[in-house]
Amino acid sequence: MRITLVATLFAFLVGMVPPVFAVENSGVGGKPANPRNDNPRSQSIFVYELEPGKTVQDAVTLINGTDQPKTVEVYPADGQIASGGAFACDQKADKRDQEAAWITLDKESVELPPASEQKVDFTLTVPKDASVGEHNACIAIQAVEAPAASGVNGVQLSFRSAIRVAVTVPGKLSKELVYDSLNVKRQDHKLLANVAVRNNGNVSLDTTLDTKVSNLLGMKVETISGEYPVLAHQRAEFNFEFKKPVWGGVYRVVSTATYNDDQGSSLGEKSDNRKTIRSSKTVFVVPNASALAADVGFVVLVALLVWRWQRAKVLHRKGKSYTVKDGDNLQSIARVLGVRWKLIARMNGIKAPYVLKPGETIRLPQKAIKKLAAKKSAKSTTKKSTKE
Amino acid sequence: MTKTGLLKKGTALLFLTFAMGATAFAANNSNLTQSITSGTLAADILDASRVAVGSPSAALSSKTFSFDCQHTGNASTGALGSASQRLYIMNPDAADNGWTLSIAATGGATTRWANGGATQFFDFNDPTGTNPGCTDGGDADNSAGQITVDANAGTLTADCGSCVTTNVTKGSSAAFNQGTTDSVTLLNAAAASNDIWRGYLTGATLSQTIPAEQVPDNYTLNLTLTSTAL
Repeated sequence: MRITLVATLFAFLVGMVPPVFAVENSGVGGKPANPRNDNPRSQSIFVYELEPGKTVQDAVTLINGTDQPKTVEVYPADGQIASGGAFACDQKADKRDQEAAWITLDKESVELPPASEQKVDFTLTVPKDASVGEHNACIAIQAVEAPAASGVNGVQLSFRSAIRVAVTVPGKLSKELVYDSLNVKRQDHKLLANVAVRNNGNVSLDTTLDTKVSNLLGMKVETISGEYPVLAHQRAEFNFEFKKPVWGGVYRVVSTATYNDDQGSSLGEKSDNRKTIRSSKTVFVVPNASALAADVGFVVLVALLVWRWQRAKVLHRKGKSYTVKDGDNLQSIARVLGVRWKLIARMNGIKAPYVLKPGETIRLPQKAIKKLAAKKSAKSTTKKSTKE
Repeated sequence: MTKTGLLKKGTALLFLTFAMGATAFAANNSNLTQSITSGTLAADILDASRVAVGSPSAALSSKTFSFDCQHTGNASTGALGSASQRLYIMNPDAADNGWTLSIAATGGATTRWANGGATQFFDFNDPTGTNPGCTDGGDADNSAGQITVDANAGTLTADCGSCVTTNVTKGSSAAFNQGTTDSVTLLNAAAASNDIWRGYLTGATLSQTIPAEQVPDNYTLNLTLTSTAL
């Protein structure tokens, strides 16, 4: 009986307890609730093309990816430009007196259980006097956390997520991108390229930036590419880190920027009308220690070889002719003159096996011959005086 | 079988029925389906085990009272992101065309460093002075002081199976400047960056100019980090 009861209870528990799945903590945030199939950008941000006075109704999905229940605030915020020209959003404490004022959310906060999501509807109305071109705002999402204790020394950090809301008011749209600057500096073992472009148009431009480092022969050393939005009427700046070339020398950094030049296509739409602009800079890179040693060694070796070749030419030009006799070889002639046999070989272009033919005329170093003549003369003078 | 035995067996059968009722019987040709939806772009301070750090903060170096402005090499410094408090950013296929991570004062551009009693203040975004931040400028408050943030001095590390830091660039050194630079970019991810990505930033530097004769006390400034899908 006891066994039956235990078995029964076991079967009950196994059958009734739902399976548990592990929750991966991916934070609190949101995404567009109704992305459009015709515009892939709408998967990640809100993209609209609206005439002045028009309204659109949409929704944002709030997500609690944590394992704790959260009170989540959602609010519109005006767009702003952060350092380097990147898109950013005003704080909750800031006034909503620009594009944020176009957005009305049905709710300001929701209670989300762990690993759950919920849609919040909103309407967006473009004012009748809105200017032609692109306007940007944000929908910000933030979990309510306990306020940090005051008087605690230092910076207290909080976090939020935001989704860009891009509204294009149709009309005379202009697209123009220019290079503002390209600077390259050496930093530790890196080359840091700072690229700045300026969007003179009235819509943002998804810009593909390719920055390439190549040597003087045009051979590519390294390339970094990426597509970045450059907001209307803004300057955007990007830092690209390259590995410092080992061998050093003169290098060329070339940056090209390509964007959709089709005045009729809006954000996220592809077009074959692409325009490319470019900028370049030349930079000298000091080689690293071992490469520098190899470079110096190479230069010294080449200089030595050139010097030896030149010296052989000069000696040959200024040398004295000599007819090879029976029994002569390079070593015996060199020994008499007091010079190295390889010098005589180089002067006369004699290659291995370095054989001399009797009767052949070769050139000998003039100085060595003069020295030899002086020696002989001194010897014979000494002999004469000894005889006398 | 006795009545008691019957009762026990009946009860057991009842329980078994409940247990079996909670169980689904698969048909001969059923398909199992599983939906995996994308999560949300988010940032947080996590420790080395990826556990959220309570009350995340960034301490700045303590400075002694001075009759002179303490700036540049003498400024109060700290780091955003450390080995034990990593500044994590997670993109679980939420932002497919790039994202940014920026930092700004939670209270907006007019907020200031404040002591516990909110009786003493100094600024974080006033660029005025021969040495920027040493003089109170034309803003509405009567405080000097400026923070410079340099994400480029930090180290970005990818932290997931196949993701890389390619196409995620660190922001240049920038100082807060009221009305001009109210947000400082820490990271900028291109459209070609991994759609599924997790990584962390450590060692981004903070440098705060301390105005001359600033009253000794503990001061706090609240900053918000925003991850924005582009």
